[in-house]
Amino acid sequence: MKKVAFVSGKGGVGKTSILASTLMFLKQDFRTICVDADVDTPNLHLLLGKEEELLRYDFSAYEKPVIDYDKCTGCGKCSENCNFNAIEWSDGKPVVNNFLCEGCKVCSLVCEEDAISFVKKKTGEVIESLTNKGVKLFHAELIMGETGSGKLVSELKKRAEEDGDDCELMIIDVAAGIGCPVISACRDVDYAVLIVEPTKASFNDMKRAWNLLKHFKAKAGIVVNKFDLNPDFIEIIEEFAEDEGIKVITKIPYDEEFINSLNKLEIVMYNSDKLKEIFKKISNEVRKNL
Amino acid sequence: MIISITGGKGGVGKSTVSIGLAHVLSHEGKVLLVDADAGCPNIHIILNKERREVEGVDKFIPVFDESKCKECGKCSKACEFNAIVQVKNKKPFVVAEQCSGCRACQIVCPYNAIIDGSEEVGKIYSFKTKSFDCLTGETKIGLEEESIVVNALMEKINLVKNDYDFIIIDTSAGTHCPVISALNNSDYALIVTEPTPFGVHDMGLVLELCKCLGLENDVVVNKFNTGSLEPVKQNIKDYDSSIVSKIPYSNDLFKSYTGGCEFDKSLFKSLKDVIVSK
Repeated sequence: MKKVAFVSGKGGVGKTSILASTLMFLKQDFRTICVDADVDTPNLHLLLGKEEELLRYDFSAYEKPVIDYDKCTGCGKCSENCNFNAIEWSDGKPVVNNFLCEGCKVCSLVCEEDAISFVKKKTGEVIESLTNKGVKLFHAELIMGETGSGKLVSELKKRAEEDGDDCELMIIDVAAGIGCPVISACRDVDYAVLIVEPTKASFNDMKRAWNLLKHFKAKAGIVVNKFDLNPDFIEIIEEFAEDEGIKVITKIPYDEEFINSLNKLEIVMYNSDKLKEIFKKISNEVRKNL
Repeated sequence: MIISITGGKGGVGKSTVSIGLAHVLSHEGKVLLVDADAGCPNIHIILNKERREVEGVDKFIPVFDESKCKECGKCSKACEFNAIVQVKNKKPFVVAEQCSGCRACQIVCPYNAIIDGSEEVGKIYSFKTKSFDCLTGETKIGLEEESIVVNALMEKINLVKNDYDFIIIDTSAGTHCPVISALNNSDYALIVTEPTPFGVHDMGLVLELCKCLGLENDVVVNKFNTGSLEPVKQNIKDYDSSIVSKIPYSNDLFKSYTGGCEFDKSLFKSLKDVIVSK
């Protein structure tokens, strides 16, 4: 199964919208499965539409400590040794702050009273849905306040690969930023579509995302969205692309149809013949690189 | 007062609102603006400022004293993050990106064979504008635990908070650890959203997160003239939160991202009144 990620670094540049439109072409050529790796704030299921939920199960990224207060002597060793300041004090007894706990288990290693045990903590739910577009989507709901988003992304990709074993292509919607959910999403991709707006901020973030992808030896192509809002910037992007050996696949003009379609939760490709040609071009470039 | 500007969805205007608010509040007192999006910090880029390095952010990395290591494998077994690889009959080695710095390996090693090493995982920078001071953090590319740098930023804030009347923290997108670290260090949050289905959906998640954390908050609708406010109002109903400001979409604001023109600060006046009244 080949893996293609839609990445940007900067949020709000159009990853999910562009992915959905390009997917409509890619699925004509490949048996395709989708993964929404933006597990904090997943949006792809809204745009592709949930026809039927096929599978849902609890996911645990780690185990959390449980303190046996009958055994605890309040010696303080657990709190002193916690690197994450996750053990607080209340009435002379240690209390675990679940928002800060990373699940390292150091507290139990230093406890001389054997007062700390562990339980699997549910950190999210893995969902497999059949979308209205005839493509299966693996997405997740992260339990509010929980950590382990990177592990949840890895689980989604693993399940998509196992359950979609007749699929040839996995399309991944990656979160903003370059932190652990992005790293997990990009780890073993074959090709990345790098989406950038013609602004210094977006360009800077895209470069950071590209540096991450280089680390994983992925190939990439650039799509410049809303390019005509600052056409002078294109030269800077093209120069960068040439220096890095990346192709600028295409430039998408600012088009109100994007917002109109998004507000109706429709895929913009169906509402604009002009944009349709652009997404076909992106799809062709992806296909060429697989 | 420490105010977090957050929103869940990327690109809704967190940095824009943070900068605008910093400008208008600077007339009411001394302001520190903190860019806590350590993966992709943008504020210094939007403001076109050179950053000055304040300090590096280090994390603990185990270093093996090969003269003492007996290859027992206890360190690798104790590591919950798969950061120590132990192949039979070979010395263990560290996968630095996955190390959380918890020191479990050091605690379990029977031979005192693990000594403190450190690796720089990010930096903290500062710069000033005519109206306010800024701190920004930036991770080294490949760092999984972005919150290490955000936590270091929060520690810096705690050291200097008495020097400022207002501290504004621009968080990253999402609802995961680096965002939680910033929200946990705040007195109040402004949740920035846009009137699109994605914006409203993600705003709902952040409202829930703030409720979990017990953080007082209100909502700012950016680009409000690009869609209907009804879904936003529907979503807020179940929370102790209100729409306190509506900012129109403006090509000028977009241009200011390209260094084209100055921010129109009048757009943020109503927000200033909200904060000052708190």
